[in-house]
Amino acid sequence: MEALDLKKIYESRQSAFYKKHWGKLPATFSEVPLLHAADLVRTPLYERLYKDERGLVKFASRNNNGFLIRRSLSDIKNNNLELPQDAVPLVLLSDPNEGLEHSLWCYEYGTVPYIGDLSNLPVTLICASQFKTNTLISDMAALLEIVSLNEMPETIKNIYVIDSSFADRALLKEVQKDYHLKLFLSLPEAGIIASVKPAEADRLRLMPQMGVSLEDVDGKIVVTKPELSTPLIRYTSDINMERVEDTLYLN
Amino acid sequence: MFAEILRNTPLDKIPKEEAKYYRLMHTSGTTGLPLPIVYTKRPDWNDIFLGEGERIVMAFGSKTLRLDFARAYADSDTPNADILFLNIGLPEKTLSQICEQFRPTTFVCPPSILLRLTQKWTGMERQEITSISVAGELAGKAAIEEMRARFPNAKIINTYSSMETGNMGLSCPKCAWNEFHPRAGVIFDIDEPDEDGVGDLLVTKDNPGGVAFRSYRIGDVASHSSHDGEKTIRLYGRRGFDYIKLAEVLLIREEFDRVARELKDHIRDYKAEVQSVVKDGAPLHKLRLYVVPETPSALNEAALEKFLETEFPKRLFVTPKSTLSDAIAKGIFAPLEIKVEEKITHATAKPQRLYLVN
Repeated sequence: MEALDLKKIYESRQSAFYKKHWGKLPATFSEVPLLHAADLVRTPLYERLYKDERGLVKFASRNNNGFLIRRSLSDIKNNNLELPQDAVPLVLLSDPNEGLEHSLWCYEYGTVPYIGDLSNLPVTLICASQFKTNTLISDMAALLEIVSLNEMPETIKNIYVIDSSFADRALLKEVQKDYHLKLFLSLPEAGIIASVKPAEADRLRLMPQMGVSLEDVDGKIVVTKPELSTPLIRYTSDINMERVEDTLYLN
Repeated sequence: MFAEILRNTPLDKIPKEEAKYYRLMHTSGTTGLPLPIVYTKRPDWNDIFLGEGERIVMAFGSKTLRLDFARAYADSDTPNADILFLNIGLPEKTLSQICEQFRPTTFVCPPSILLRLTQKWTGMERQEITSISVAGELAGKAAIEEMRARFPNAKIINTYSSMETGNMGLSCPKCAWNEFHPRAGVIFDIDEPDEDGVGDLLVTKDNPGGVAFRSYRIGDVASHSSHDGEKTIRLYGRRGFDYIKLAEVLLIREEFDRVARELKDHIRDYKAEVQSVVKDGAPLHKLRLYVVPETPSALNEAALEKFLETEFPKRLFVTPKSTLSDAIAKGIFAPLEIKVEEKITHATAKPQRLYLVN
């Protein structure tokens, strides 16, 4: 991220959000002040937009403080789910806005999704089976509900989990026995930020997505993802991580 | 039953190779088994969205409706608006916070949701609303008058639509609360009208989603009407007057029958009348139950009224998980009003056990 054009962001005509937040133009990336969710809460959406492109606006919250985020169509398109061409996805997430975004992503890549509803799970799963869905796109909370119901469609072979913590490692181990599992670390305000790969000693290794930088600051992930409607530059998260030499692990 | 519905679903006929977009949905099945419909064309933004404005709030719970809206938006040549899909189940404080930050110009939602959501808005916030697309339930006369007064700069677009057919009719300012002009390309017919001209509504529409509806029995009862030389229809409710859909509840005649059967020691016959009003700026549904008491009844008239005022709401479910008592506690309904009668009289030739008045 040393190549990031800080001056361009600082002098942007579209928004003075970072100019105000930084005070002066940082000389290097490491001098950029950290950005916190509280900064987003404090600043109205339309004062921190760096793209003209309109899109879907959603409500996110951290520590009971809510703020709006715009996800433009290009923001959504730039997520990379690495879905194969023959995937017939069942999109079943606990947050309806996330479900909508990932369904739109599927359409962008020529794949027709089946968007499901957790409130009507048995019927959703019967229909998913009839629809011959082979790939479940879910999050940890939704996955737990689906696995608990013990009615996973037989047609499902792949499970893609998009989550911000992967706290229930036992559930992942259980699911991994029967399915091809892919994990993606995501934040509502950033979209997908990293692929997550099982590593030695039951650890989860983080592989940042293209255009994303992850830092370890006091054991928490700090994200930089500049190509967003509200660019995230050194944005602090609540996600625990550990860096061992050049390798990042989710804690 | 669900297996039977799925057997009727023509999944093999879905043209997977040709259509980048398709949608498969089932109708709710209120007039029979749910009907599977396959859409092979993408939704058209100009068909789905009839309003205008830069910041659109859409407050419908249906995920397919949201996805259709978002897909049509993504496909439109020049997306020139932000869309916020509002989860109306959020706490009131959060909803206010969202609207305060987003500063909507446009609403697409059922009228009672809109009135509840904007009840405490200031005059300035109200003046920023330029367009309101009303759908999802019939907007009563009181709701329309309240919207006109509350949002003086808004163009109010009152539509008649269904999940499967999309928009079919539009109201003009001269229309009665339940009256609609057919949209271009839509034909309304009335099947087997009674002496009042009321019968099953048949809809003919070439749907932009790729489905042609020909004399489609949509499940509503209506009559032909007109004003200023233009043909309209007037809607009276669901076929058989078997349910009334309001924004946050569904009143089902069978459910009323079930509760009446449970209370058969006290109720011999009944009819239920629903009215939507606006009180202190918020929508309020009023339910009045006309009851013919079972004879001999253990209770006198006053005691029976008091008994049913509490007992009927406790037993009557208005959503899968909540009762009329819950809805009264939430302020969605006024307390149930009971009228003891010697005989139930009906306004039309066909008995209407459950009906909406305005």
